Amino acid sequence: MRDGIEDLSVHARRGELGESGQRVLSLALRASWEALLLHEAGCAFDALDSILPGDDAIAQRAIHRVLATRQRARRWRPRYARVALATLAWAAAAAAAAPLLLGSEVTRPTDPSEMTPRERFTRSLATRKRAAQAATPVVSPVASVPSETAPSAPSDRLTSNRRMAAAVREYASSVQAFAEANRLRRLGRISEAISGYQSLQRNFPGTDEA
Amino acid sequence: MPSSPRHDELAALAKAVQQGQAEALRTFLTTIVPHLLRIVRRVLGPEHPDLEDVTYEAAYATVEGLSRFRGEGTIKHFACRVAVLTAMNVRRHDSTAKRARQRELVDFDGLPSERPGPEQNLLAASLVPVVRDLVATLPQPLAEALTLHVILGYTVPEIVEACGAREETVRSRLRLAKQALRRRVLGNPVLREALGEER
Repeated sequence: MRDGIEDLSVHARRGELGESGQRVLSLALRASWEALLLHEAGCAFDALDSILPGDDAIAQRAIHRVLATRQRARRWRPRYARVALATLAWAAAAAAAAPLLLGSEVTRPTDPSEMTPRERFTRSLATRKRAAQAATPVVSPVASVPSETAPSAPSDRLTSNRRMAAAVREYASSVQAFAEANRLRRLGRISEAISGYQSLQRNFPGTDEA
Repeated sequence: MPSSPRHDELAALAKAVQQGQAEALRTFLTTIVPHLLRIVRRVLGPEHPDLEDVTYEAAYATVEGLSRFRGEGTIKHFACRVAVLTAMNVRRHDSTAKRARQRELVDFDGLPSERPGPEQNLLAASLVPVVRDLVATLPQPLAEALTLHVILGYTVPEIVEACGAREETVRSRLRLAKQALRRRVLGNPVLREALGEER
């Protein structure tokens, strides 16, 4: 399939375009001023510094805040559940004790001959409603959630991850291991970086970096 | 476009995060937050005072949204999109607040000179602020397509994967965004001069 001008522009920005591709792009940009504007805008954004000094500190603070918020939420959840349960138990006990406390005035007559016409009407209405509900078939909503299976990682990737884990064990300090994992992440070697972070947590537990 | 199953480096980690493993969450955040920070900075600009807060919000929203991730695209694309939408919302909010401030009475003595300095000229001649302004004012689907394509450098198939929209829809959104960009540039004399008139 032939790429559109937008895709050619992105490939050029990433430096993935060959000579013929460059030629096609330059012809297309000469033909369309709008496309040229979009391409120039993209190049302007690419030229901006994407990594600045102090980024690691900002990222670390954001991570600490997310972890703290999640921890707080987790700590409050059982407390709320306990309060809700206690309220429910209290309400149930109050409802059960109400007839005993207020005497027989709150109990409803069960014999239709003892009921007032209004009570008889309300009771027959409720009986009919229950019968109608029982006759209606209940449709259970079935959520069709596609099951996700993580594709298996290639063997060479696994080997490099193991090598990374072994390398982290050899580092003298958590700072070195953390810096190495960060370097790999910046290079785009995400799975190796993840492996590095995990080994860091195993080998240097309790340090700031872990 | 045929979609072939692809290796997602963060999939296993995201699964562990969903299972509530604290160490996995820390690793996931350490991997993903620098990307989110970079995206937020590109959308908001390096001088924005809420850069850290918005990055935190994006990271939190990503972790919370993992349970809703349906496997369309990679986890990294998903996280990037969350960051784009979070930053875009902040920029829109800023833009609305700015308009409201402009309607209020102003102290004319405190206003800066109308004549732009060399730095302002240089900034005005760049397309970066124009695109950032467009992101704040265009309808959200167009702004999202523009952000993913121009600011983050996504190809059309990658935008399709990230947004879950059809390819024709994405191309149409980009076309409309391009027209809006052209109108903005034609309305800015400094930029028009710097980029050359329309042929």
